Amino acid sequence: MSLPTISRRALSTHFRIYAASTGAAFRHQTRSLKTTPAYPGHVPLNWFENAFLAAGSAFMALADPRRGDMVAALGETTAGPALPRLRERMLESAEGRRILRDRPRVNSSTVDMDKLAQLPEGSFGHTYVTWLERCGVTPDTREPVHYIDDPELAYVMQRYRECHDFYHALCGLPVSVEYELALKVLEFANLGLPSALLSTAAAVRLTPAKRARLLSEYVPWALRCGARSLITVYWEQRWEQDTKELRRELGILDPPEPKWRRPLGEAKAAAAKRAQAQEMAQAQAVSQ
Amino acid sequence: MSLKRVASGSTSRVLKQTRLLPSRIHRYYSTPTSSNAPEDSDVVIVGGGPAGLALASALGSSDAVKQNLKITLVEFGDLEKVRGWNMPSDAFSNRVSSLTNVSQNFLEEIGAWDLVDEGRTCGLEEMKVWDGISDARIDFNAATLGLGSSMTAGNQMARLTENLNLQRGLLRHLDQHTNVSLLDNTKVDSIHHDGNDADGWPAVHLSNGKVLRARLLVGADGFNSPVRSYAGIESYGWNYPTHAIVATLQHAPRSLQPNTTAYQRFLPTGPIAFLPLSPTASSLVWSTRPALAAALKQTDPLVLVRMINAAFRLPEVSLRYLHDRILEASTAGAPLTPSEITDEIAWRERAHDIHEYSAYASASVDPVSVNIGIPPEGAELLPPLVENIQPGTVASFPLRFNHAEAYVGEGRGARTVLVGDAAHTIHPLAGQGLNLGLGDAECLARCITGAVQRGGDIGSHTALLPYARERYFENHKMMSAVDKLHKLYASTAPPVVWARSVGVEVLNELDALKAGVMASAGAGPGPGRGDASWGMAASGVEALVGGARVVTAVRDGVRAVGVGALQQLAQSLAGRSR
Repeated sequence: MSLPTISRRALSTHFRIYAASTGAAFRHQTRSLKTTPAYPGHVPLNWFENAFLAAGSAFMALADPRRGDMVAALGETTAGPALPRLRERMLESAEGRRILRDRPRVNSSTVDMDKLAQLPEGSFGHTYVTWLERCGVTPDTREPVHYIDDPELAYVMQRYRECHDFYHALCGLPVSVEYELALKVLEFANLGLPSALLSTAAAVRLTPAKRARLLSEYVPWALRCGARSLITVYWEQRWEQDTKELRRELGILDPPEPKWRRPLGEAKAAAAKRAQAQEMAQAQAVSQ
Repeated sequence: MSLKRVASGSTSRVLKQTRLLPSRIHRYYSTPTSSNAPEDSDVVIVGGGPAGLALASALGSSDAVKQNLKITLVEFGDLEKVRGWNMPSDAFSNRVSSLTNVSQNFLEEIGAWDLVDEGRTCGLEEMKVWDGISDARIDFNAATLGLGSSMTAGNQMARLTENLNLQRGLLRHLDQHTNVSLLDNTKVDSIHHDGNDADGWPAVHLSNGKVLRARLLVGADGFNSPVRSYAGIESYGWNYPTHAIVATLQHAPRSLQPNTTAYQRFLPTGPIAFLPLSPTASSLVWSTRPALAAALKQTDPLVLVRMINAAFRLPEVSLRYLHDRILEASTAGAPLTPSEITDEIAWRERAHDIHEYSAYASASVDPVSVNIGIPPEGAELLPPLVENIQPGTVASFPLRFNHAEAYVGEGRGARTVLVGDAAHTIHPLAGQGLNLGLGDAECLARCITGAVQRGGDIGSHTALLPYARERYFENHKMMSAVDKLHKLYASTAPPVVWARSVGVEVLNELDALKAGVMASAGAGPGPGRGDASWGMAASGVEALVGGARVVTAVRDGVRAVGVGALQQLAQSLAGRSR
């Protein structure tokens, strides 16, 4: 065998090992780069593309924090060994295993808002629905995962993203920047994802007063919370559980009192779109 | 010495006939004392395992030795069981070793190989080894590497033989052709130094009351060797944190290739190896953590079958999860049932996107139906799906590394020599343990024959030194290489995994080097094919020249492109300026 073949094979090992550490090594492809998508929406990247996207999305997320897709891309490209560690944490706990088997998704079609609103006051389901209304957001705005190669790790990332709102509801924090940052610190301490730490760089966008409050009150609170890994909690099976009891079980302390703003327009816009779609469907049915 | 023996024998015979000495019957009720006339034997071999029997065979088949030396072999167990060992042709014993071509040549030369049932052995033509974490592969093929003994049909790297088959063949050879006296069902009670001076012979006190004085005492008696402790030879070593599970596996015959390929996957808990014995039966050697080995031995055999299939196929993270579940269940007192483990493995296969038509599916397919017809793509990279385990063949034993500080005793322990497991114990991952023992036996037999031909004292230190010189370093090299390999593949740190995977993949491309590795491990050609080293050198030169040729072509190409580009640039500049 000639030397160029040797060096090409040796270089391809690097990609194969990286893929192997994410569990996708059994696909013995003859090409040295994996370019076929592993799940719908998968965009395979090589190491240079990954690094470039990480740098670019970091810059864009800082420049415009409302670019949810850029924040998501930053999270996925910088996840590294944190996702396999999270998967192992889930495999070790019985509840986490159930999540990996069922692969539940959180969006307005899988979460029955009306049923949750009817739950008793103080239960987690009721708290969640109340929080959604108070902040004016819906669970539909989460970007799907694109840049993780292993399908199971992609699900873990998706689950992490979709559970972020549950953390908000559990702690009772609104969606402004300073409370988001406090939650990011809590997530980093609990789950270990590098993007959570990187997101705290957005503290430069806060006023000095808010930054001081964040550092002196919220960061210590966040670091003291959460002995149990939050990724192993099967939230959909805990709607009826009392919120205070749930907080105690997970080790979440009461946060400093937040300042609530007026609700965002997201929920209203989504409701309006739904109503419009329903009207158009009715009009079509009538005309036929 | 022989005069003394005749005198004592005739004296006791005369005394017995005149009834002044107690008769034989009374003797049975007396405890053995030093007043028992010790019997002299030139060579006493303690231990009737493969190494001891091979040494006895080799000595017994050499004419020089036969005419001059009296050889006795002492064995604790019942050799009649080995002589009468008989198994149906589709059932195999669970202790199987791979005999290298060098070992096989040795057995052929002493004439014992003809008495081994070759129909129960299997020639190994290919070996596929891969990393459990990164899937980096190295494949050895006897045909392309030019390996194989000139006396065997076809190419083979090694011959997989049941240990009992080999022992039975050696015993038959001893019974039929040699005059070695075999004392089986006899335990060595103690070994004393006979006489006060340094020239005293070792005296072996046996459980049947006899005392054997040996000119040369050979210890072929395994890890806890009484001969080694008599000789005062220390040994250094350690227990590996692994136990090996062995079993005989049953599976369907392979559809597109014969079952002559050995597979080994290096998991972080230890390597799992699949060794073919026949088209439908193969042997398993799985080194894993002691707790896991115990748990797997206790479960339903079908659980072990599923785990074996998964251990060759699933990514390492899922295997770790399955191991944890098995340990958890067995410590809770409720071992997993076959349906539970099938469900877990099927879930992990779904999680890794292994669809049911992939070669990597094991729990989501029915092996009985999937092993018929054209196998899925990539099936030749994996062993066949195991369907059953032959009942009663699951066993486990601890693994250790051990090497005696010397092979030849000195001072108060003079006239002793160690062969086989008494001298060294090695990890089974390279299949070398038995072969090192046979190599020892061959070398020692040659040393003894040489000493006899020169009229020397076979028990003297100078006669035995060539044996120690030749074998100690060879054995040590092999043992430390295997030990380092085991430790290298036990690591899960990413830089180590990357380094070993790149190394293995580069080595996989260099056929000449692979042939060299196999040859040093004993798979080299037989005595008739001595030009293999030149063949390897030739293919090495080819690779280098081919590489150099490609480099020159690339350089010329770049130069041409560069020149062409410069020309175009000059033209365009000239064109623009015009």
